[in-house]
Amino acid sequence: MPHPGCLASGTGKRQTVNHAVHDAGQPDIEVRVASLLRELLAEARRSGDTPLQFGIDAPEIAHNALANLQTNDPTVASTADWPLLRAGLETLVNRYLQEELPRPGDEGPCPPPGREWPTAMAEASSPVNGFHPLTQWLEHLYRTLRGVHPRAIDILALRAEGYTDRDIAERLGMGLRLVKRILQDLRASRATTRGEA
Amino acid sequence: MIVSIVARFQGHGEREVDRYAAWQSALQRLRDDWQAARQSEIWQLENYLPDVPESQRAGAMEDLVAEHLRLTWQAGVGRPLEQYFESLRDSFPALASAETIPATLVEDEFLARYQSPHGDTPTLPEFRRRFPGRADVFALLGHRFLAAGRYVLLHKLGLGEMGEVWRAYDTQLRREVAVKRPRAAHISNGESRRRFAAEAALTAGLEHPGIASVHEFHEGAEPFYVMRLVNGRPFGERIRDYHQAPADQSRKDRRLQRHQLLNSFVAVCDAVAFAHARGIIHRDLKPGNVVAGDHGDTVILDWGMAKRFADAEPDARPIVGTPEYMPPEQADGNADTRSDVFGLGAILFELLTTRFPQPWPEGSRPADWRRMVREARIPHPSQLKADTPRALEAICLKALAHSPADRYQSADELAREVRSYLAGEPVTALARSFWSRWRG
Repeated sequence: MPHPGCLASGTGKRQTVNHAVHDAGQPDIEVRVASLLRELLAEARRSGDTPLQFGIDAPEIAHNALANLQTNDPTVASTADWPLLRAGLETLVNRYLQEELPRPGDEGPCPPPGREWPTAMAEASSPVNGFHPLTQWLEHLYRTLRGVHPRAIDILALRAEGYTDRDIAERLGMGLRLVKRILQDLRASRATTRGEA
Repeated sequence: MIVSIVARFQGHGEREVDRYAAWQSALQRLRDDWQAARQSEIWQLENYLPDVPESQRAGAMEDLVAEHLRLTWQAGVGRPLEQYFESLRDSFPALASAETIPATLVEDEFLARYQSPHGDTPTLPEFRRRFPGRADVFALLGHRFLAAGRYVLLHKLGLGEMGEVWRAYDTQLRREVAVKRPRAAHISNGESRRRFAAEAALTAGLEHPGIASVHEFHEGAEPFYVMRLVNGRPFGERIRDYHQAPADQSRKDRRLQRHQLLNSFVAVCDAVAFAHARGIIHRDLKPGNVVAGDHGDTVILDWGMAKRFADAEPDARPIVGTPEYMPPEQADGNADTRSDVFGLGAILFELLTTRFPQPWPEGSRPADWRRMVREARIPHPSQLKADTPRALEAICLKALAHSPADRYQSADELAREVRSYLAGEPVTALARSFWSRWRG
């Protein structure tokens, strides 16, 4: 096991701005999502002791995560209706925490946009702004992750940060083969989801 | 949708069915048994498998062997992999021969031995002899050797924007060190390599107990530099511990704990003052870049954003730092030593309140971070933590003054003020704040 916190940098720390070396090119949508997931995880870790068992201050997590994403990726800022999106996110989180929205394991497909989801979010994710593909991708990712190991999201986030399977196993206190197995499941699940689509 | 996805997996993930729960719990039981000193009972690793589904047993057994190697080598009773073969032969034949054993498991033994406190330092020739013809094993282990085998990379401690830091072993001097090298994406970029070399040279010029010293720099296809390894925890975690102290903690203990943190803070000020005296500013001071060592030492890390303030050459990166801790002049590319004083004030602010001094205002767009930094209105720490001592609040606010001219003019001066507070002496910032209030 790694020594907790020893020389740790990167994971969970506040993002450093380094504008002179920022790549201003249009990032791939998967890069954006990976970045968003990473930021969400980083914010979540900041508010708790372990990667998974933290108390959620969801609006803050969502806000800071998106804030960091936008700082790192100016193209998001240039296309998005930012206050609307954030309001939608916060409403969603609060409703989720109040048990109003479906949970993993609930029967039935994800609720269609416009019915269960707040109007603000539906508007924010409409095709007229840059977040539409992002939200679509995340929804797809969610469907993929559904039924996969609860730690899959942690593993994916650490991979997005650039950690190897062995690094991830050490950081999460898991076996290396278990990490690999979960990733295998994820790939298989992705393939199935793509096939269905 | 985004948040529903995140919220479902953040903290609520445990509500899902975990099909690998038995696998993970087998590993945990092995660790628990080892902790409970039932060591003689656990050489039979199959005893941990009954609850693991048949289709997962091979993988789970590999993880159990890896964990067992780690535990036993750490306790000084480790055995080489071959001694597991006999017990694995019937149920897991692939794990019971030098020809078929997974390379990652060989790597597990290799790492377990390097991390053993008993000074075992296995070499590549040894593994070549034990696992002949296994190119996959040599490739895997070979990647861990640097500088013709002098340094062995053990595990990654952290990843930054540009570089990664490893815990490593110096086989020549037989000690653990930290190795920093550029991330793979930056290795072939000439500008990144130049900056990396400059960072190493700059840090190497800072020989101080409060700064992770650089032992050597290796250029070449894969540059890296070697530093002192600091065992400890991020300063931010120590701050959190202090603020999350149990409710029944006595006032005296609480005060002592705060004084300990303040002493560490003074050590950080001293290290920054030392760097300033060498003509270097850090530009990214924050609790995340400070490690509180296990033996009372406090060390500033990550000098990747630092620069010499007398450099005639224009700065390739005029605006660097972290917005939540950044002084207004730095957002305009005009950092000087007083900007680091602001960074120190930000650390003190977090020490007193657990918050960073410049949170994003409600409704702000992150793209507006420069405006946020320029117009930030830093709250009084006592508004966030009512028990903040007035003298410390005054010191903190002076260090965080909007205009550099109103701050302490050096890290030394700030350190002196905090020392005065710790010694029960008058604090000049408090007197100043009293008079400015009295004058209206």
